[in-house]
Amino acid sequence: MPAKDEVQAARSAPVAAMLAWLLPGLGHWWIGERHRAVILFTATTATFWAGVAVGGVRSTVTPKDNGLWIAAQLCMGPQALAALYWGKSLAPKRKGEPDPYKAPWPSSDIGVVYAGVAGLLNLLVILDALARVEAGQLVVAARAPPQRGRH
Amino acid sequence: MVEFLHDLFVRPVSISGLGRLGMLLPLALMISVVYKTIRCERLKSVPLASLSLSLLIVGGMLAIGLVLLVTFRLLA
Repeated sequence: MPAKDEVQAARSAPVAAMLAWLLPGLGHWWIGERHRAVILFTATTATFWAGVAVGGVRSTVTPKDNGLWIAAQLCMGPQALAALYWGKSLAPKRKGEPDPYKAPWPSSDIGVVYAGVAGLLNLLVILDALARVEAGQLVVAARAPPQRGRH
Repeated sequence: MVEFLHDLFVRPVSISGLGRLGMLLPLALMISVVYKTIRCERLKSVPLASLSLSLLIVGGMLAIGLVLLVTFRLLA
């Protein structure tokens, strides 16, 4: 059975990062850190959807009122995109019509912060997946026997 | 099931009073869990390490809040 470093070294860092963006923890799963992947997936996803549950999908993941928080939230990948389009689909049909799903303060702010922090945590997870692949490659390269020069 | 999800994620929750402060606890815990899962080489040490980090975060935030409150009262 190959060592953990060898498994990680055989993987591509950009693919690990892309998988981690697609689904939090999937990058770690792919490089063999399966238990770590499950914990990371559970923690980031629970934080994101807890934010959506508190603030409502209409007020939490929206580029309109939340400024740069949307950039942080989009680090959660397709889940954030799904929430964004779900929220858009609930917009009032006519302009000026009251929005029944608009969250009152402070629920709106709490929801935005939860979802934004979840995205930033997933950014940390993506960077960790990248670092683990590169560290594995360094360890394997250091273990390799020195190559003889040609005379 | 669809109706349950609709109510859970579409209708915002009303939070007031101590509930606002209480929302800091799960957030601090989740930040600690993710951070310690990344940092700790052995996963067995994650629960205790993340619990102590989350207590440190909450304690630190409360201390900052207390200092700001005292400063505000003194300046008022």
